[in-house]
Parts: sequence; structure tokens; C-alpha cells
Amino acid sequence: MIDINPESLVKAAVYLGAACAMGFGAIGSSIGAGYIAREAVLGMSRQPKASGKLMRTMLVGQAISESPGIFSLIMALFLVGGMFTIQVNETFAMALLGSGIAVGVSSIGSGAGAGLAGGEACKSIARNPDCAGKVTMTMLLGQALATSPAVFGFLAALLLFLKSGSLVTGSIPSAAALLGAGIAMGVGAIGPGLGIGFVGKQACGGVGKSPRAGSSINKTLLLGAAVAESTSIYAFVIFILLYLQA
Amino acid sequence: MELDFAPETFWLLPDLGDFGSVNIKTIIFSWVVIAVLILLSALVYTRLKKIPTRLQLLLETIVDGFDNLTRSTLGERGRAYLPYIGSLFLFIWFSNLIGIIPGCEEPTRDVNTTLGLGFCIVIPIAHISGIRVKGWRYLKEFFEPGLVIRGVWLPNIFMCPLNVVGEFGKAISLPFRLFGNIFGGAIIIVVLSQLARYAVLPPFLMFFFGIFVGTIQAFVFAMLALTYTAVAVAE
Repeated sequence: MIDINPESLVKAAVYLGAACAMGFGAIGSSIGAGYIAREAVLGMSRQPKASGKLMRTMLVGQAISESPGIFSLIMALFLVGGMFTIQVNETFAMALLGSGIAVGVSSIGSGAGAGLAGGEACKSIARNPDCAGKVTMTMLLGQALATSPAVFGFLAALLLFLKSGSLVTGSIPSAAALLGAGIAMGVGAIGPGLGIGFVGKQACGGVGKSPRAGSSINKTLLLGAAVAESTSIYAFVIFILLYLQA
Repeated sequence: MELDFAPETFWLLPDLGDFGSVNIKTIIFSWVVIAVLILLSALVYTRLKKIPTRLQLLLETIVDGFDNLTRSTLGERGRAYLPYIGSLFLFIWFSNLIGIIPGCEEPTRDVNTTLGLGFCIVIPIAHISGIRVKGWRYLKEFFEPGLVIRGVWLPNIFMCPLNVVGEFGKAISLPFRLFGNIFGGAIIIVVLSQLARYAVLPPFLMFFFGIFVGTIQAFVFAMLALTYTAVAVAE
């Protein structure tokens, strides 16, 4: 007979939350970082003279596309390490599970999207090493935009984590609201992250091909990314609504 | 396993509750970083030599690198932004590096520092530069792409919320990226130190997170600040 009491339920939710955070969180970032490295290696074999520039772009790009994974890691460690503040009620458990899902799932799209932009930037620099500065700038812009859904996810996870400390009474609807808030933010951020990644990818390629059009490409990148990102803002709005329900 | 990462607070004005408190370690180590930077530059600047010493060479490399970066990104206007971008990089870099010294705490580990840098420095400077360069035309950009009816440009009101949201996303993600990376590094070092009992792993991790990640994140922050400014002033 399995012993089901509130305390064990809370612990189970915390462990599941940490697992979701890191398990899902590792997917996107690692694919993105690997894609950047692939393009950098290909570029070096094509254009050995640009190795230094490619190395720098690769490291910077990987550092950004890795940050969604780092957010997931922080949240997972918080969840496992935060066990000592336990208050026994089921709402608390669902908030923690929700925070794990929010940060983990939201970093899938962002990590991969930032990787797409970074990889194409490496390709462009290998093709035309003279415009490395402009391409790096566009890459940074694209990656910063692509990782912002993951930042929203991280923010949502932190809010849920803090909320869990202030809960005294719980009910099934508020538990569902908190878990749902986490799911809304997490799943809602997959698409925007990837979508902005596509924009950033083509922008990096375009700046490499015609550096003169750089500023208009950057503007279009910003606008297109804002439109693609608005979906993750909708998710964040729904997150806030659900969060306030609990 | 207990983790306590709440910053040490000090109540300046106890009547105001949380608003009257400061995170004392953040303040102290921010001033330590500022003092170190001022001392270093004063030390080098007062005795510049034709044949540079090692310290002079290091600082010259940094200044020269950022001079090239700002000028290649912003053109001739770039020189004016060199002190801003350079000191932003140096402050964040030294703030990240100070965590290597035992007992010291990175000011960037506190979300207040990074949010302050983002919201009070980077974003206002980008917008103010945009307004200074373009005047009121800068505000027009928030209504782009406009509707062109018979050759007359009309503001597109529906694009304004999207553009504002994009600005908001940029402003939020910049501070949290720095905070997340530095804070995550600190947590990982503490957790793994407890597992590995202070043997081999912690020094290696401190090297990795302090020097490698710290340098890259400082560079990324400064570059993004430069990029946001460049996008705001681009014609």
C-alpha cells in the first residue's frame, strides 16, 4: 500500500518539478549550442583565416543560447534545495510543479531558436569575414529576442516559486490554476522562441550577404520578432490571470 | 541540504518596511569594484609610458578593442559612446570576477543590480540617443510600418502596442540573463561543493563560472547595450 499523505504529495511534486525543469530545459539549449558549433567548425574548414573571429562568435553565441538551460538548472536546484521551507498543502505542490514546467518547457524553443541565429551568423562570417562586426551585432539582437520567451518563463517560474511560500490555505481549483499557469507559460513560449530564431537566422544570413542593408534588416528583425513574440506575451497574460486566481 | 541565497538586508529606514532596506553586501562590493577600477586606471593613467608595462598593456587592449567595436557599430558617433560601453563592461566584468575571492559576493548576483543597470542605464540611454539623433522622428518609429495612403504616411496605431511590447521584452531579458547566469553559477558552486567536499571540483567550477562565464556575460551585456543604442540611432 502506498502511503499518500499531503507531505509526500508535496515532495513528489517538487521532485517532478525539478525533473521537468532540467529534463525539458536541456533539449533546446543543447541543440542550439551544437548547431552553432557545427556551423563554426564547417566555417573554419572552409575559411581557416577567419578562425579567430569564428571562435569568438561561436563562444558568445553559445553563451546566449545556453542561458535558457542555465535558467532551468537554477530552477531545478531551487526546487530540490528549497525543500526546507515546506508547508504541507496541495496548492503549494502544484505551484512548484508548475514552476518547473514553466521554466523547462519554455526553454525548448528559445534555446533552439538562439542556436539557429548563432549558427547562421557563423556561416555568414565564414563566407564574408569582413562583415563580422555587423553580423555579430545582428546575431546578438536575434538571440536576445529569441531568448526572451525563456526569460518570461523564468520570471513566471520565480513568481510561482515565491507564491508557494505565501500560501496558507489551498483548494483544488487554485492548485489547478497554479499548475495551469505554469503549463500556459511553458508551452506558450516554445513557438515564439523558435519563430524568432527563424527570423534571426535569415537576418544573420542577409546581413552577411548585403552588409549595406544591415540597418533595415535589423529593423525588420526587431519588428518581426515583436510580432512573433506577442504570442508569448499572450501566454504571460494568461499566466498572470491564472496566478491571480489562486 | 539547505540553501540560503537571500541577500543580507540592512534596514536604513525601518518605518518603510522592505522599501527602506538595502542589500548591504551588494552595496559594499559594488563600491569595492568601483574603487578598484578607479585605482587601476589612475595607477596607469598617471604614469603612461612609451614602452607599456603589463597593466598598461592590458588596459590599452581593452580600450582599443572597445574603441574598434563602438566605431564599427556606430560609425563616427561611436567615440562618444566608448566611455559608456567600456565602463559598463569593466564594471560588470570586475563584478563577476570578484566572486572568485572567497568571502566576496558578486554585486551582479543581486537582481537589483542588474535590473538597475538595465532599466536605469541601458534602456534610457538607447532611447535618449535615439531622440537626440532623430528628434521627434524617433517616436514615429513606434508606429512603423505605417499606412501609406496616396503617398501620405499615416501612423499605424495597431503596431504601437507590439513595438512597445518588444521594447519591454528587451528590457526584461537583458538584466535577467546576466542575473540568471551569475546567480546560477553561484548556486552550482555551492551545491557541488557540498557534494564534493571542497576537494577538486569547486576551484575548477569557480574558474569556469567566475572567469569564463563572467567574462562572456559581461561582454554580451555590453554588446547588447551597444546594439540597442545602434538600433535606436540607425537611420
